[in-house]
Amino acid sequence: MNFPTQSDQVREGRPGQTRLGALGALLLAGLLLAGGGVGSRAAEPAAAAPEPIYDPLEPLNRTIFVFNDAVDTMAIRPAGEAYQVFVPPEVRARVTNVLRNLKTPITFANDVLQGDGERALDSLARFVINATIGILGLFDPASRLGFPYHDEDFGQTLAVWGVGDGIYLVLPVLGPSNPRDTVGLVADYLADPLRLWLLNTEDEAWLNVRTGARIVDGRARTIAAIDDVKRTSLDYYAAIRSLYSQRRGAEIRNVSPGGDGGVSVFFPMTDPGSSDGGR
Amino acid sequence: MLRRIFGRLGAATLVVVCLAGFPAMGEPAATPDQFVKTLADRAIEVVNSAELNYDEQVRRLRGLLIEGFDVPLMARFVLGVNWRRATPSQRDEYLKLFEEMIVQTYLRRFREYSGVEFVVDGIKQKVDGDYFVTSTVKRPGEPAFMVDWRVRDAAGGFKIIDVVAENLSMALSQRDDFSSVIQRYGGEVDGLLREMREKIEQAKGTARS
Repeated sequence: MNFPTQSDQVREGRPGQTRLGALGALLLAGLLLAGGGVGSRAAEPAAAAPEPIYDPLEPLNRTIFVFNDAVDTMAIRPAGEAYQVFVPPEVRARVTNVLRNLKTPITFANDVLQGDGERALDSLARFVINATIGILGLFDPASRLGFPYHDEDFGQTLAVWGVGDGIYLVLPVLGPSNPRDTVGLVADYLADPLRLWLLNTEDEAWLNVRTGARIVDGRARTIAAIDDVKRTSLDYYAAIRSLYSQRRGAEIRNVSPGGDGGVSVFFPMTDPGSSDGGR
Repeated sequence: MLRRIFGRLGAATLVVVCLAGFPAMGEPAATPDQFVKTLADRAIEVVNSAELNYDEQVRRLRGLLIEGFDVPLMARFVLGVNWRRATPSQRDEYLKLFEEMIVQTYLRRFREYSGVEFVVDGIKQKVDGDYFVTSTVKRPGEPAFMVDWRVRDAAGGFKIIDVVAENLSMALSQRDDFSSVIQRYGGEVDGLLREMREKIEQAKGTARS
């Protein structure tokens, strides 16, 4: 679309030649395929062109973004950094695994709601195997037994059901989102069986422990990536907005394992498949 | 399990390539994955070299970048619709600044990643003539992450046209970044050029420390 010289090439009509003019679409197709998808998806060409991100509330969003960035710089990033510096990788990997295992029931429910039997089975197997053989989720033997980690949330489920992104939103402290994913966030929170159980047993304090652990764990794993974005971008806000939308798209299409969705306070950009330290 | 074995195989191949030295350097790589591997090895060698000072590292890295990346194509993609609206002199300056920014970004990244293991896993997909070469970056004590290199088989040999880290396209996010800057300057490309110059100066200030 934006390559004058190359759309000329297309007009010359060389068959099989990459249509550079639609590089954007191809990039997205690439994203689709990059996650190990099936080749048949290559047959959806220009339709997959990245939608421009609709951000009518940009001035307000930018204000909240600046606030979030300040909170991050002063509190969350330092916490993540301290955690990374003082806690050995082996221990951090165990924490990540436990947090993921606790999230598995929500992932399972969303797999089912999305009608994805295979991934629902993965989730179920992961939960059972890792809670038992994996000692309460400390270890992740399930990955090695052929049940790889993935994350689902209700925002993704709504997307699969056909709910669009709508407008871009920056939530205070919670970070980049949109109306659909905000609803998803609330739904997942309310339906979380662990939360309901802890509320019943009046052990709510553990919920705060978990939330704190999620924030620190998620942030520690993204320090390098976010520092890099901050350093190399001209407009940090716009760069994060773009990356958020790309990442969310990849999660919805299940080409990215996804992870910790909207729960992480800032922006969990890289969340590699298995964080079993000894990999 | 399989993945681990393949990972090791990949590492072994990497070592073999290193041991073999760079006789293949002048010749065009036979396959896109081999091309990415060779290019990355040479870049890592430059940034890890103790004899080369900063300026020399930048010079050599720029050479590798220009050789291995289709920088003008990437630059035009990133500027998007604004490319058409830019004057010839704005385009010239933009291309120079873009190249400089890319060099700085990668120099820094490679320096930070010194000591990591870079394994090319192979060709993941071929989409409309472009190869997606997938690789894994393994950091000691940290989870590994996945980087895909979009490689085009052009007339002058293989060229990288995008880097996709954990499913995030650099070209796409940079395009969104740049277009937002131009928008803030009321559609003036000069505003973008000014910010690019500032960014480059800023990076130069911190790079040597």
